[in-house]
Amino acid sequence: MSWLAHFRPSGWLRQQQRRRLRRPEYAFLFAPPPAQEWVSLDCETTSLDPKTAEIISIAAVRIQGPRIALAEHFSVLIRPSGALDPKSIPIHGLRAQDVAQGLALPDALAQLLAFIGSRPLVGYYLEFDLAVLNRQLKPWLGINLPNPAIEVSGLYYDKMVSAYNPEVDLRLASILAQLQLPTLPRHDPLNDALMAAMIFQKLRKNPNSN
Amino acid sequence: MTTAFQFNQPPFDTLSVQEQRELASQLNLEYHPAGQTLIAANTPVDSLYVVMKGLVAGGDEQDSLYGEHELFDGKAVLEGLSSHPFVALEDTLVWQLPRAAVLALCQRNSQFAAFFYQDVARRIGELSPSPQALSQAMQMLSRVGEVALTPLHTLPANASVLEATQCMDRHGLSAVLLNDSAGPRMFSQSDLRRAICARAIPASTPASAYASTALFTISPDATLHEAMLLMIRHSIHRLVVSRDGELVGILEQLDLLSSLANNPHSIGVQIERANSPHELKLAAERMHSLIQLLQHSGMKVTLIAEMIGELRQKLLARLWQLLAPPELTGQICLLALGSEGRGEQILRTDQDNALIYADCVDQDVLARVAEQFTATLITLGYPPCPGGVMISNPAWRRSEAEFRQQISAWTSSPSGEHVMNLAIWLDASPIIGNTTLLYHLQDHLDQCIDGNTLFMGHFALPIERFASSHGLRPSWLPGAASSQIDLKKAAIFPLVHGLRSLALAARNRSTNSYQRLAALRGGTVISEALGNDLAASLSFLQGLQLKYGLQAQQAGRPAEPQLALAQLSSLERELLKDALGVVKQFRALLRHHFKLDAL
Repeated sequence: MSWLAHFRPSGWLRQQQRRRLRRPEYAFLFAPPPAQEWVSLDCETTSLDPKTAEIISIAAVRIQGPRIALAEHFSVLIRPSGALDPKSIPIHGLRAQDVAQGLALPDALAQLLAFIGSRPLVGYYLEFDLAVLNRQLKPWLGINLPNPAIEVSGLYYDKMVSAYNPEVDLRLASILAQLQLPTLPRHDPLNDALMAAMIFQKLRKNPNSN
Repeated sequence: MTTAFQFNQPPFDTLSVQEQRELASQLNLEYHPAGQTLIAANTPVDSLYVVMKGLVAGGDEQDSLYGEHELFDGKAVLEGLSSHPFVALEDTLVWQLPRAAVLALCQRNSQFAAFFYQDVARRIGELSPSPQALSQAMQMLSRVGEVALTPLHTLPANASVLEATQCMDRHGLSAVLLNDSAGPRMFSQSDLRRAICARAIPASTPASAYASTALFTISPDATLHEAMLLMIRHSIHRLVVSRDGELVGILEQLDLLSSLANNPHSIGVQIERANSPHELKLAAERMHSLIQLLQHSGMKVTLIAEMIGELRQKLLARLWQLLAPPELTGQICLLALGSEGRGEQILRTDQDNALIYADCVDQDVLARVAEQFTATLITLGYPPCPGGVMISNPAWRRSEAEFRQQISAWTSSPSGEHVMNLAIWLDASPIIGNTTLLYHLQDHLDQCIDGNTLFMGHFALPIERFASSHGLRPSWLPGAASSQIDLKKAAIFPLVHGLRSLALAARNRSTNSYQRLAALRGGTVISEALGNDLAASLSFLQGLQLKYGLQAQQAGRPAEPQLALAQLSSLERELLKDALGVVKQFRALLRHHFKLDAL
């Protein structure tokens, strides 16, 4: 399970990615990240197939040391290119008229890139979100997101797994309950990003803790 | 976005929707693992924190704990600086609010600002629910069953006008019921008037000829508002109260109005006119309804206590008069002691009384009256005092000379039981009889302690008895001991006994804590500001005691000394913390003043 490891592209891979970057104004994605900062990210999509799913909303929140900077969170709705799958509407709660107010996808992605910068990304089942985002970004940017990605269920697995406990329940509700974190209403991308951020805060090695 | 921030918790519940939205847009979350410092001592504070999950310790001695929905630190945010650190005891998630946002809200919303007042007296005053404006409306929603109903008297269907009138006269009623085969009918004063106007003077005329046919009934669960409407609609003065078809009493318009007017006057009259212990019992029961009504209406606890204290002393006096031969009263002085003597007892509790008699009194007669007095009080709902502080106990029924010796003994070796007995004695307030008997003993007490330099310290010492180093533990913490507080021991006793000690040292003979405080404040020991805080804290604590005592009684439970913190609202918990802070401050002051550490 490759997503269980922290994915950090090695030096030469980053060099190669950097050469392939088609738009120089996004060189900041390769700048050294600010210390003790991360971005927790979540997308709502029209389906669960990363090859076809369309993004209809993105939320992200910065983690700065002990703080989850909710006040300056990032949250956008995106106008989809086609019709919404009626089956997905009850899940994300966004109707055609809701997303019609949204941004065009390229604008939303440009704002997202400015928000995350070179910070490592954090998420729950982040692989899916990144796959959908990269499918849109690559034709335009020339590369996938170069940011390191941290899968919180992976952090959790590493903490919990042992010879005596080889099966770890990685459902979000189970993780939150086990870590004694509050559960926020699901399928609001900001809440999902917040919950991932809380899990990350609880599990990461905290340089300030004594 | 759906924030998980709880705007229904004080002080945020005072914010308008617009203000809530503004605040929500400025919220951040922080995570601090156990052991991490959130606010270091003597560093600038730019945030107000509200605990989302976890536990934080703060305060001078790190004994103030903050749990879910509680905020810290109001003082630090106002001053922009904290003198002591705040440390996460558990892994903790907190909401972080920028100080600037809180200050801006304080300027615009005075109710919100009241939460951050530094002055405890002002905080308790502003924040304690005081629905004075609502009180009339609230009372209209009180239940018919809570009003003291007039008892029912039913006569046979063939009773005459004379018999009906005699029955009304004998029992002080304005109506009787006739047990007609077609159902009960009412014969009232207005029916009597009609009978007389119709010149039906022969007294043998059957009352039923004039009795009303329609009987208006109401359920004890109906509101007073409904009762009032029914009376207005049918132009009638009384309703028969019927529970599941059984007639239980009459609701007189007068009963209704006097209960709406919070009228203790009528109970006072009832006590004075009582001609038997049974009639006193009826009045005592009405007193209980009155307490519920007054508490319900949000009246200040000190006012309720004054009013009820007055009525209760009347009741004790009247009971004495009913039991004792008149000539005996001039030779004794009956005393209420303890909280009853201080006029701070609202709910009925154990008896606490004593009696001084002149040396010439016939002991046998007195002993018999005293036994009866105590026994009758038990039937009136005052349980015997477990410590035996009752006039049926010869230890608390003594001649002036014996009490004189007793006081000398108490003061010459002031320790343990002696101090507690003396404390009870100091609250003595005369109920009936020859008060000079008491005044002589008070003079004697002053003489006893005048030359006794060690006495005051020993007398004040019990304030340390229930002192605990723990602050208020949050209610959800595991462990039964931590989630309960004995209000009386932990907070009320140190305040009351501290004031008692200071008043004794100042030779002030008030028995009421607030009067003692009024005499002491602004003096060398208690500043004006501390005086305000003490009065506000004591009345807040006594208010809590009354509220939860009544709740226990209504649920049919005895009033427990232990109050479960979980049942307090978070605002009450917040104010309780303030009050406990004042207790702590007062205790430290007394320790210094009476040099208790040197004992």
